Amino acid sequence: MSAQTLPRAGRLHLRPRLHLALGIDGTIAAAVLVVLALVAILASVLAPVNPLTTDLLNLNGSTSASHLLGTDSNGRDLVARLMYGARTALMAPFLVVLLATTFGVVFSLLAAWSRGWVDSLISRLLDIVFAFPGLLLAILAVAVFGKGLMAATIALAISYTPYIGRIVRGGALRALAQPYIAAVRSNGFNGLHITIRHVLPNLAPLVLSQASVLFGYAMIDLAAISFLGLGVQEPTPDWGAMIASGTSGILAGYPQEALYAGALIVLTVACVNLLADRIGDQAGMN
Amino acid sequence: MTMPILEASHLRKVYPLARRSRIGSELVAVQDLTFDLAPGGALGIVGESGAGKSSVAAMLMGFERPTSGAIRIKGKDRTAAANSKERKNRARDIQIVFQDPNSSLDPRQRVGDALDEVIRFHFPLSVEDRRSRVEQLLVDVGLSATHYGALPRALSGGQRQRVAIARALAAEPSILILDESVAALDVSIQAQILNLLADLRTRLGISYIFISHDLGVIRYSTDTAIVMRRGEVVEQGPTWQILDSPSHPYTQMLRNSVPRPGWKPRRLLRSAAGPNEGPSDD
Amino acid sequence: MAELLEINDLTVELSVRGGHRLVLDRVSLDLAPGEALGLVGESGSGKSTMARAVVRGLPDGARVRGNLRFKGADISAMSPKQLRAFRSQSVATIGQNPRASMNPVRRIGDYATEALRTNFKVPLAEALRRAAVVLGDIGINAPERVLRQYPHQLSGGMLQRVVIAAALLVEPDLIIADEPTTALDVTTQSEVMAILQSMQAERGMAMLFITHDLDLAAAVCDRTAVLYAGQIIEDQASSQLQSHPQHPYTSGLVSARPRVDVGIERLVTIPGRPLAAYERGAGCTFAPRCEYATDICRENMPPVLVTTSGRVACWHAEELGTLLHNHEGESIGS
Repeated sequence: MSAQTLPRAGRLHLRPRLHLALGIDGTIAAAVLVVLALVAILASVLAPVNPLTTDLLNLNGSTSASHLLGTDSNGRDLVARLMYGARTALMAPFLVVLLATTFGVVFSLLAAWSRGWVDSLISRLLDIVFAFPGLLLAILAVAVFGKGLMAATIALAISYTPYIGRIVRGGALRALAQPYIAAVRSNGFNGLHITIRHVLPNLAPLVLSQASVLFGYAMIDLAAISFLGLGVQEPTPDWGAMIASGTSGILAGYPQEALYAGALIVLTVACVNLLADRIGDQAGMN
Repeated sequence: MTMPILEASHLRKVYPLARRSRIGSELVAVQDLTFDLAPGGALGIVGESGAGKSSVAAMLMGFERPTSGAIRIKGKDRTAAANSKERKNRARDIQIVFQDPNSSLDPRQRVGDALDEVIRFHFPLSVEDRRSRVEQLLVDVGLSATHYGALPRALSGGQRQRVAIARALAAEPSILILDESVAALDVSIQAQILNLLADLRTRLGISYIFISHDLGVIRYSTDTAIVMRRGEVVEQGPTWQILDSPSHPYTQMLRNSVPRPGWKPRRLLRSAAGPNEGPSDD
Repeated sequence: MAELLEINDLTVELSVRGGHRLVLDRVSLDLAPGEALGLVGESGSGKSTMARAVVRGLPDGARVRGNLRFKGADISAMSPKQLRAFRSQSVATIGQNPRASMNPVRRIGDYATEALRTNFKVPLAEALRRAAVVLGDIGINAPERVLRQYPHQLSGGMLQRVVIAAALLVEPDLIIADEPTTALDVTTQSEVMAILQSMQAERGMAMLFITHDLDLAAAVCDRTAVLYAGQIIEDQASSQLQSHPQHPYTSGLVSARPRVDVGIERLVTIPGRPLAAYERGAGCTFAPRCEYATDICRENMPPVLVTTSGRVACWHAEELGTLLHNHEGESIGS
């Protein structure tokens, strides 16, 4: 019998025709992000000079042969600092999203499967966390545990968990109401098997698209924390921190540091959001 | 006299309503249902919407616990909606095929894997034995071994229902509930599936419970039938008798409403009710 | 008498990702004023596309060729104003899901009188009065009370009766009923179809009744056409269609339906599954599934034969004529 693709098809078709699924803009966005990630990983190889080396004779320098993007207020090469800065700028939000997604998915699947008091308890806990603004929680964590990205990252991860949690719980409830779940359940499979084998794979597109959206928010929140001086500490380069240290330079006529760092943040968040949109389109076609 | 494979006695299902509505504080979905299913037999449960058919299916499958009454399968009491272990045992007794071919299969799971999952759960077989068992099932339901790697979305509605039937049969149950299983299919495909089910019954000796609103399907596929209306049993007996000489006016009305050659639609004796007719009526 | 609706060689391609798909292929139908025509088809036949094409309601990107005339006027050439008048006054559509066409936060009375008030400028009180009269004709008790209720308070069957009433209020020349009773119980279906049939006859409205149920179409319509893979393969007086089908597909459809009044040993099935227009190969669209197909069927599209009782598109219509008789419970041919 001929296998016919029916109109209801629309699940994410990974690997083959990925670029078609994402569209031109989605593919470009994905490519940009891959490049940025590679730059961050290979910074030690790619950077022209050491990002910490100061060149006191060339403070706030503009583009030159030895410093392609100029230098900051301490005479450090901006290209190098931006490259190395990519590490914390990309890694930290990624960690936030990874933790938030993991916790969010685990809790919400548990809640959706168990229903009853377990569901109520988890939902109320998520609601309580949801009520706290992420940034505030992060600042609180820094105040308690000291400056540095670690405390802020974990705090943000906790505050983002309800975002994913609520959406996944809704998706899981819908998935569990499907007849095929009843059919599998009637065989006697336990909850763990059903949620992992049958619910999770069907929620994957939803989770992916939500996680991508959160990445953008995390990046901005973390940049803000570094901007406030609570995150990455000197002399470690970080895009958010560079906006802070470059602020004074803007008024003095040396906008390079803040501008380039800011531009990279905007570029990354835009690409991530675009990618999230495209992945969401795929998920939405179901 | 052979022992019935399934005995339902005085099944009753009542749902408490969250707030007092027009109907009262509770909904009686099934009033008092008693029937036997002979081994290899086919029973039809007929009714329109609100009759209580889905509640009956839910109770028989263990998705819902009867408010009162008992269900015995092969002599063993199976009334309670049990724990995992008992559910596993019950799965070898009774399985179900749902109505909607679009949601009766996990859209992300390949056909072969879906069948393999069930077989692996119930039977300790080697990988090769399982594989050939899956391929055999596929052939049994009119598909082919090449469909092993297919995803549901690549299959037509009729093919998906065949897979759903195969999955139900994978556990080698004694009883199969067909809950409006052909209602969403084209007429020509419906006929193929009905014939398939008839063949399977002859070959495997499996017993059927057909839940349907379609009297033609019931006539073709069942030996005995129960007519239900708003939770009550209106008539019960051999299918041909119920349909050829219905004793209850409701059954007569039902029968007379089915389009067939020479039929003309008629306004029913009761005039269309007005504001008192609630959403559960259709 | 001039035809009310003339459809000539209607060909429709719908836009899909990556191109177009053929859905209707040179469909020709005529509908006289006051006549009821049934259009029967399974999945992929294109029947819903027909309903939309007549009112120019196809999705963006659809390619339409052929002639669609209403009272002599070309529907595809209508100006926006003419089209609005056509859709609001000349044609009324009844769909499968009444709840989907009603705003759940507005009352029944609002829905039923909307067309009268908007298109005919009838004042609300007068419109409601007329609506109550029609609801009463349809057999609804206490129509004034129903008009004040909201959709969620009524059952599907009641809502469908309201939809019919709303259609009748406009006094259209043509009613297009697209699977109007598929979602209803069989007893309600009988009632609703009886109402529709009597209203249509009483008021001299034409009706295009689209369904998958051959028996239902034949019961309600003077003539019935069968649609397969985007083509009309047969078209006859309803009384003849079931007893003397001229096309193997029609015959197959009749045999495939399990009867409630007769015990059948074994249903005779059509192998394979119904195709859509874009899936067909060369030759007759039904050939791959037809037990009477010969080489000529597989290579060439059959011409439309005009017979004493209607039309049929089959190379072997004449020879098969007697073979395809369907009496109660008998199987066809081999």
